[in-house]
Amino acid sequence: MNKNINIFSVIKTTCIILTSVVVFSCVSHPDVPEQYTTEDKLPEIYPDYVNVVVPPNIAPLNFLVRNADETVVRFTYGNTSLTYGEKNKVMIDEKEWKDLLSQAKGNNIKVEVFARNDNAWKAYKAFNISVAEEDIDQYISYRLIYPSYVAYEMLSINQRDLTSFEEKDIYNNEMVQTEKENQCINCHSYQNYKTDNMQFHIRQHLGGTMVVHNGKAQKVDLTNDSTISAGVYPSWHPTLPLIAYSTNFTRQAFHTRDKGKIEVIDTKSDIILYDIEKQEITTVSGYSDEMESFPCWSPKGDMLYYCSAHFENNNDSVPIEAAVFTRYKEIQYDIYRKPFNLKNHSFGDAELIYEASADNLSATFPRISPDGKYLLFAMAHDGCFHVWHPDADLYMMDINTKNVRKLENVNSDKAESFHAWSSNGRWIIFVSRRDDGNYSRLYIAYIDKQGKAHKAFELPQRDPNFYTYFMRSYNVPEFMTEPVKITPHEFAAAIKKDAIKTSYKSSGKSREASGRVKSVNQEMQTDSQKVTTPIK
Amino acid sequence: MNNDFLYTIQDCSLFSQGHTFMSSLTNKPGGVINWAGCFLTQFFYYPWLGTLFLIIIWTLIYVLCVKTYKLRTHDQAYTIIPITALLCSITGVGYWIYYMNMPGYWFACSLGCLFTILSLYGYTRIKTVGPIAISLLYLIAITITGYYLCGWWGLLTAICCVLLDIRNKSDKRNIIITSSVCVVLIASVPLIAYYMGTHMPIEKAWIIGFPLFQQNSHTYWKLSIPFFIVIVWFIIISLYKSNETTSPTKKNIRMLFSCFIAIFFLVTPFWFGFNDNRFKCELRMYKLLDECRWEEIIDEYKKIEKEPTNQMIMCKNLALLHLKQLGEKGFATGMAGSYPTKQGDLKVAMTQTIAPLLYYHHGCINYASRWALNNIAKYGFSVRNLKILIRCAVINNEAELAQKYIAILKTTMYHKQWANQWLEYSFEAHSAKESQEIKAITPMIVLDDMVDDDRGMCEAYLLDYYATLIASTPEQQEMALIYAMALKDDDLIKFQIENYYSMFGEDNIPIHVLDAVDIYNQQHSTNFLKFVQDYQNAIGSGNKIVEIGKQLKPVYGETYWWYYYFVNKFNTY
Repeated sequence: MNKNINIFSVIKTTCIILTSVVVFSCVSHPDVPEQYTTEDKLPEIYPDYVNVVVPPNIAPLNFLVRNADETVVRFTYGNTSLTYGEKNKVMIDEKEWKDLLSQAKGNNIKVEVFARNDNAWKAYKAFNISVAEEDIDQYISYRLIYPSYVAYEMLSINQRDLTSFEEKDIYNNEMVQTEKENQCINCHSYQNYKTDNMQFHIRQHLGGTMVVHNGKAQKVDLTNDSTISAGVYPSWHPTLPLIAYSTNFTRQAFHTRDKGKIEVIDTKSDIILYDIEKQEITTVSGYSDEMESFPCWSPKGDMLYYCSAHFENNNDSVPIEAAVFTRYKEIQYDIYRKPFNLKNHSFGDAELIYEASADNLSATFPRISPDGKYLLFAMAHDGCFHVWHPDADLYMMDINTKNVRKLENVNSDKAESFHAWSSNGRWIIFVSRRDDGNYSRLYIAYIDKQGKAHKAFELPQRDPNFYTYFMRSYNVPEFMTEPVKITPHEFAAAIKKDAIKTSYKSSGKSREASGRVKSVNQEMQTDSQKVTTPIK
Repeated sequence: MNNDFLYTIQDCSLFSQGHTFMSSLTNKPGGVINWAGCFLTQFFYYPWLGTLFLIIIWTLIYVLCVKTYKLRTHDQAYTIIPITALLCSITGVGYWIYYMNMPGYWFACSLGCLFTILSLYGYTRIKTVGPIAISLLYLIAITITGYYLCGWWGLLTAICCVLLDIRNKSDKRNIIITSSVCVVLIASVPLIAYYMGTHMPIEKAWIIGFPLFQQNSHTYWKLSIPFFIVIVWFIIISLYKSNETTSPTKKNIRMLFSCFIAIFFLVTPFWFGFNDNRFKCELRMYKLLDECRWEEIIDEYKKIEKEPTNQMIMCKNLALLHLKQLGEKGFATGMAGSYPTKQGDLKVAMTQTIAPLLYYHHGCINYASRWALNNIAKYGFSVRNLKILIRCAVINNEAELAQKYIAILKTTMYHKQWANQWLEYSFEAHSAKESQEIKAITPMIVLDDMVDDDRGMCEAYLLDYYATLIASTPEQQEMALIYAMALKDDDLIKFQIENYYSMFGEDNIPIHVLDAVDIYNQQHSTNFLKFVQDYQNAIGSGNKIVEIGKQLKPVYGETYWWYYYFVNKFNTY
């Protein structure tokens, strides 16, 4: 029996079902107005679902019609026609929506919007919602945070069922923190979209890394004298009990005028590998004049992708931190990969995959599609924390041809970042600040079989006005094919326990051992024949 | 407690109509009275109206106490005790107003108390008419609903029900049953709430909603005392039987004792309250600065009898700048202030009290919005911080962001008009430019971007930021020079004097600038030479610097020289 099933969840579920039955029996379908004038333009709706491609299992795309006193919207596919409208909101019945999507799979649903202002009705130009053949993973998880980045109050990692509006906490820092001792949580990550092997970090109060291995949660301490910090950005190996982490010394500062507002900068960083079963850490890449970060395993686990920025502090009298902040515009990350031997767990030499700095850009957060064909990453002029860079956009590289293109249908004039692939590789989810420039929201886009990205749509909410009144930002969305089974209370109990200390095993590649004067690029120049772009 | 404090209460709170705000508070036990408290707090926009609501609630508590406990006339004065405690819980708050994350605190406790006494009254009525099964059902119902609605008050209610049974000498078996049910309820209801998904540390489940005033590692117990008094009072009064006495002597003694208790507790709020005039003055000056009422800021500043706080000085400097008197009167009116009056171990920092507004008026828009948002995240929603966010978004041309915040402010009762005004500004740059407030802010905005950090020290950051600034407007230049002079950094002063002269020329140079020039010039003015002479004479007579400063203050206290040579302690917080 699932240990999550208790009397309270049964009561809660029963209540939800009963409420749904009552609500379902009360669904109203307004009549389309008999008289109206025709407008030769598309309606202004929020969220913007005009001509988007959606998965056949997505929750209803409720929206509101801007500048309308009242609206009636007709969804038509084949012989099925459904109308909705409550004042200026369109609240679609969940059951009817599911039926409509299942009928329209692989086809278009026609959407006609009728809006009333004062006493006059008008009909806008109809648009389509295309229903893809491929489902989207049922669950996503993300962190909710105030976009202040100083206060840690009210942080939570949540999971959302994409087929409905149900959202639950995976863990909430209010479970453990007190007024006296605050706690930050971040970087949730899963092995192969499954939740029996997952992890997230806890910082400050009762800090450590919560690693769930084969369904068992335990807190580990990844700090040691040989690495810069505990693990930061994680990537689970797809088949082995290994997690690659970056270790970062991160600082933040604030723009006095730019709309980016915050600059989160690493002053040094390396890549490490954590063996869960041996509870052992080794260094994967750690050079003093390189800042390596954002590890990401290839789907087969035979390659580790990561980013690295070359930075030399030429003036010994200036501390590295000051040098980095003074010259932060110069810090640009390129994308590398290292082959990984699945048998003896050793890494080969680094290969430069994309030299963004040569284009005067900085590429971060590489994510390989599950079929291994595409590399999705975020790119802006400089820096590593693109979620605060208004010029940050998503790009995709064809791994075979190394051809890089900007995802025009997906990007906006605001920051896009923190992207992830669905398990079938047909959907991506990412964070965008396009709504208002300050609060990051989740957007989903369809990637067709040719690798073409289609117009992104915002994660639907029951109340289309939800985002207006919601004051927290979404970040680091990850797809999952199943919900997290450990309850927040079980996580809280595990967090209160002492962390298991990990050991460090020198791989001959630690910062001390590998020599600070030797750069990755020099090493590649001599050892790798696969360098595709000029060496710095 | 005065009108400024009561107004600030609502300014530091926010009630937004709608599901999102409601669910954000009511998703945990006790959240309903927080939500209701926020609703009532907004009436302090008119201080008399908020006070009236408080008086109504307290009167209800009084009447219900008398009825529930069947208090005789000579015992009714005891009812003043919890009401006084509730009043003290408001008057004693002081600077904690900026540091407590207890939405609707100002009414929530009174509402919790009202719930308890109302439930106890219901319990006494049910006991008189129904069998034990009914009263047990009632006990279960009020404990569960009480815990959900009012948090710890629900548990207190359950305890008091049992104590009432003991007082009324109910059947022993019934007392045992009721007590057992009560113990089970108190043990299980918070646990059930915790495991049903309430986000709180498990150890807090039994005291959820109980006001604790904590900062870093310190707990300021003084402000929790009123609530301990309320608990103790409920326990004692639930056990106390108010009997009629026939002996006139006893009657007189009890009446006298009641009067003494009543008088003692009526005086208590004044003794317990945080009656610091500088705190009140800061509250007034915040409001005046918020409304750009420059002359009134100066008038208010002049009324200060004690040494002003740094916050007051920063407000005064801004007012003088906009009245074009900063160079004439900046140092004459005082440039170095002091810390606010201590309130226990509470560490007051400007980042929580006034930084968002100060940054905004100094043109540091990103810093203003950052601290406003930070304070919202840490201490809950407030009208004042939401207004700062709106202003910053409008000035930064972030129309969608401004409209998001305005949509929230428009759901309040008394700030719709302000919200609509700024909504217009967000749509129309032309009308925004006509706003007196925006006209005052615009020249202060430095267009070049910089990446830095104030490390939580607003005043120190602003002084340093301006002192090192290459100004592009007269307002910035005036501020840059005066702040460089305030820092007494010779290089920066010389740098800013040069910039000042190249921007303004040599005519109409204000007196403080001339004073500074006098210090660095090869040829000194007669007045400066006289100051130097007097200074040397005083040194010659063996006085210490502090003494010399005091001695020369009546003559030179309003000059920059006096500040330059005698003010060595610059507190910043």
